[in-house]
Amino acid sequence: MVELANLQKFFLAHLQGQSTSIKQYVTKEKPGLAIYANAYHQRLREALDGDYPCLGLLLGDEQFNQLVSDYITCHPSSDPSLRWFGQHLTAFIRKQAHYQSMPIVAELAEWEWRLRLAFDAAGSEIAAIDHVQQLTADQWPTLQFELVPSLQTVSWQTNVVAVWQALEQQQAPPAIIEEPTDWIIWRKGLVTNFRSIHGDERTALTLTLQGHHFASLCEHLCQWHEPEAVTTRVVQLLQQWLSDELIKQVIS
Amino acid sequence: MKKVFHGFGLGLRKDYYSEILATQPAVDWFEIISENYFVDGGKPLYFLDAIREQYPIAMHGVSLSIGSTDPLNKLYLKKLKSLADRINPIFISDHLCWTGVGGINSHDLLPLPYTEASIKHVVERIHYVQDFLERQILVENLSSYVTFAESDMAEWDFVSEVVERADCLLLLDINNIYVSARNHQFDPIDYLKGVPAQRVMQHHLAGHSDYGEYIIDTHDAPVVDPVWQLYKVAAELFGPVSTMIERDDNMPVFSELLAELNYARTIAEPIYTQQQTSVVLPTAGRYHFASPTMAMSVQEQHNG
Ligand SMILES: [Fe+2]
Repeated sequence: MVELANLQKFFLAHLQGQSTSIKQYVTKEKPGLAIYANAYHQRLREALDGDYPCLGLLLGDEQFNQLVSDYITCHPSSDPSLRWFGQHLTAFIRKQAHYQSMPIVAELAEWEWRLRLAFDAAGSEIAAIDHVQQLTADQWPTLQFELVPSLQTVSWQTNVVAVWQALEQQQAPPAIIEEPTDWIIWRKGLVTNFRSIHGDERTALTLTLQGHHFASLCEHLCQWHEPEAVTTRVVQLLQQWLSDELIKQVIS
Repeated sequence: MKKVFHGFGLGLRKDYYSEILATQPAVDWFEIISENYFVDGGKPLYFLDAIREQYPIAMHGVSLSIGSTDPLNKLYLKKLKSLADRINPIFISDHLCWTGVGGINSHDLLPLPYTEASIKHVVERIHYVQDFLERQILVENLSSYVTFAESDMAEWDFVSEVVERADCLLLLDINNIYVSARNHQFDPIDYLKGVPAQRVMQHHLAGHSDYGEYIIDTHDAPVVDPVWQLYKVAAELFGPVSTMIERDDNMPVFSELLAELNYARTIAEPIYTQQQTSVVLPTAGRYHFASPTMAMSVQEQHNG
């Protein structure tokens, strides 16, 4: 007799490729144990293939398969849903000495993962443009803007988005170059959106997320704009955010 | 105990979301993989809510891990319950298996040794889950590829003991019986005759990959003839049981699944009609779970 807990530990360790005494507890080890071991790896592999299709194209089969095998060994799934199995891949890549000279690899992984996050992020109500237009001048300085929960901002060192777009369309990617850029990703209705943003918009979004009001946004954006132009720029950003459905609610 | 017959259903898979909403096919209910909807928003929940407005939904889980020696995952149970609160499912089911241990999920349905110790362990946990969810759950029999040396009873005796002692219901997967019968050389009819008929609440039908010496349960092909034959025997033994086709890979056009489901109807309905001529059977049209009079009650049967 073997304790059920031990039997399960041996069985799972066998699936993970470790050598255990499981064979003495099954009457017919072939092909049964191999079927389970194959299925274990295949299922996890398929999950990563689905989450990181362009990373696979960038690296090619051999390198991607090696990365996937190493990841499966180091980060076995702990979530009830395969949806979250790939969540540590970017951090895992960043730790590999092999990839440190190729920042695009981690950036592409992170980009694909963030798009995945936006896909099933929480939805919310959307602030109506009409509502903002009805506000009086004295309300504006203290207005705060709550942004939608699917919004993410991210900074890249490479032209990763151009590379991703080409790979996604099964085209040859452009040459990889160093190209610092800022981006936002969010979901508009059911559709995942992204666009690049300038430094002033990035700052405005960061401050907005921290709860800064309209007057404070104008003050901080003076590092980019002349004082007489800054209000116009902030209003322009807010109009853009409203039409992008980035603002959940305007708090007056 | 009363069995409720909900008719003939299909697995709800993302490939068919738009088509289902656009064409409103004559399917009586859909079954979801519960964990696929443990998300905060976006397409999965949007389509689930929209389809739920028009069809009853059954919740089928793959990570309850009722047979694991890890503690039950309370956060998982909470998510399951809140999804159930959202869609008011006709069934909540999972597998009579373990999926992981030591905090690791294999995402596979792993078998248990068929012993008294396993029965006690699983029964206690099913009691906990049913108390938590405040309803009975259905447990499903597996396809399996190994036999444990310490198993000292037939699989159907193990399954029967568990469902009787836990006072839960049985989701009998006819294809899994066929697969395991071939892999472990038993007579599938013994299995059907060996389980408590009054607890059989749902059937799965599916295709598999036959490698001659063994079969793998792949859900990527049509149901094979020997499985239809077994389904016929099941209809004779159990009477009206809500039945669905599981297809998870190599997805065909939706009409192909509908045709397969209608084939299940043509096998089972004449048998049901013969058994209880007084009961009005559902026709090809859909009926709504929300209206209790539309669901058919079937008295206990003790054919098993
Ligand atoms: Fe099944």
